[in-house]
Amino acid sequence: MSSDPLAIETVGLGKCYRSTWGLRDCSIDVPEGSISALVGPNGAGKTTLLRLLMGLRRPTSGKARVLGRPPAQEEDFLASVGFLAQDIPLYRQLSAAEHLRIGAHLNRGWDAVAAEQRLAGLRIPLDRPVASLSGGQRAQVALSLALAKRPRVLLLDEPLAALDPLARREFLTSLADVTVDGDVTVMLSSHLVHDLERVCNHLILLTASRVRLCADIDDVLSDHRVLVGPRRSTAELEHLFNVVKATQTERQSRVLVRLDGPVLDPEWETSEVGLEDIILGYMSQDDTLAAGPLSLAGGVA
Amino acid sequence: MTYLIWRLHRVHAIVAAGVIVAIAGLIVPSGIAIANSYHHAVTNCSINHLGCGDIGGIVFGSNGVFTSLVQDLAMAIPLVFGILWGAPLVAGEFEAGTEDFAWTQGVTRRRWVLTNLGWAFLVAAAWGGALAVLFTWWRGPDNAIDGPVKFIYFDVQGIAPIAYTVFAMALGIAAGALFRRVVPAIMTTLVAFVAVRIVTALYFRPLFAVTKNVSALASTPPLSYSLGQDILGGSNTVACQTLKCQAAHGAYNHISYLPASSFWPLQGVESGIFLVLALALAFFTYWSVTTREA
Repeated sequence: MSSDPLAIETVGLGKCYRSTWGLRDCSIDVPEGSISALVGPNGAGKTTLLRLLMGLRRPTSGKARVLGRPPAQEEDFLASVGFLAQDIPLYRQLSAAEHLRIGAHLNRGWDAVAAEQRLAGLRIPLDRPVASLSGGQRAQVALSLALAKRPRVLLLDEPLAALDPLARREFLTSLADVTVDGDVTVMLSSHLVHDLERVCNHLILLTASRVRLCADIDDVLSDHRVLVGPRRSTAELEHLFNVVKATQTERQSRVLVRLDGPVLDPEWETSEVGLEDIILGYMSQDDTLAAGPLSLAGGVA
Repeated sequence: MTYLIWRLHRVHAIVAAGVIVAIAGLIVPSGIAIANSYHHAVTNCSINHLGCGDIGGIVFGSNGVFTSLVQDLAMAIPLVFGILWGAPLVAGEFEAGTEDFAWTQGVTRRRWVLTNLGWAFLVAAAWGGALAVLFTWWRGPDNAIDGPVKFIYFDVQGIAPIAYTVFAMALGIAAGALFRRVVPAIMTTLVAFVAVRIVTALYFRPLFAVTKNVSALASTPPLSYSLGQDILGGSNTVACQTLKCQAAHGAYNHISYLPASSFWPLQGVESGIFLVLALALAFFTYWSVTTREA
């Protein structure tokens, strides 16, 4: 995919809030047509990154380019990027139909028919105030509004957070449906790695305001292995590979590594590792991020 | 853009229209009654030479309580506009998070804020204008009796109510854009509006006062608004029991007042001040919405 044109590109992107960095030295490439999972613990900078890409915040350092241009208050830019903010903000007293009418007035290329059909297909009442809809229905309304713009890039900030497992699945199915043609690039932030794995093909992992991984999920999976062997120092391994996480028990060493070559030492038993475990491995690197693994448990909650 | 504004604010618009209709419902019958009794009193005076000294007493004896109540209410209404309509305009979007929706559609924030400000100013001006028309008509007889320049009388008629309402609206919107919270915006609007109104009324209007010395027996001219008078000068007036005696000993009356003729110049200048302030606040709102991060 690396030869594909880039939908989103950032170089050294940083955002400083008073004295702390919300996002630091973020350099990512997101290919066109990909569906990126933006994962990381709370406060890792996911929202900051998405808002920088939408132009709702200004970077302290570095550059961002979305569809080849810096985010700006220009109609062309706004028309090509769809955004769904955290907590799914809608005008509570207005109905879905009224939101669609508002959207039609605020956007040039507005696909009201498709949006109405989507919502009708999901049996979401168009004429009731959105405040009376369920969280899942509201999220679907907001997604329909974002899609009705016919954006080329769609940025979704924690759209699954408020949804129950069934609504989550429906939302992700909808998302997979609309992105099947590959003409929309989606970036979707969430804690719920498990859910994202089904629809996403690209991964961006943020911890402590920094990018840890930005790659195709297939590549991430093939690049990471768990090595298990008799207890010993990992210094030798660290020399060869990027050791993500080492766990020592009394008799055993268990090491998550990012490979850039074969493991030659026969003492190590090599096995494949799931995406969730890889992500957890990176998240638990920082002692300060003790809450990280817990926040991933949302898929079970 | 206009559809969005109408859809979000139509309840406000309907309530505001309802309020002005209700005020008209109070004012028009009372105005007709006042005009009639004024007409009677003037006719009675000019033909029968009765009650010429106390036309005001005759006219407002029966309408007095109502008069002051409605006028005081009219003083406060622009403030209500700023608090209930202006303050939540931007701040309410932030409290509900809906700026993330509105500002990520196909219109720039620049257009969003300019269209909002444009309509808000237009509605405030139209509403203030309707209020001013009603009260200017209603105050006709009283202007002829008590003059138009007294505090409160001055404030509910002419063109000033338009400027006050526009200013209150601009203040509410700007405070909301500053704090992004409705309650602080309301508190700021309340305090700042009252403060600016009092400061201009107490310290600015007297700049237009006429100050001069007249006979100790004379007072401020009819229809003017007296800001103060003082019997000064003269020699050996200590023993005097009457003004006539003091005048005879060379005392004079040092008077300061707003003449009735200062009504329109003052209206123009004060309206100008409030409109300039409103524009400055609108500029701040524009800056805040287009420049500050969301």
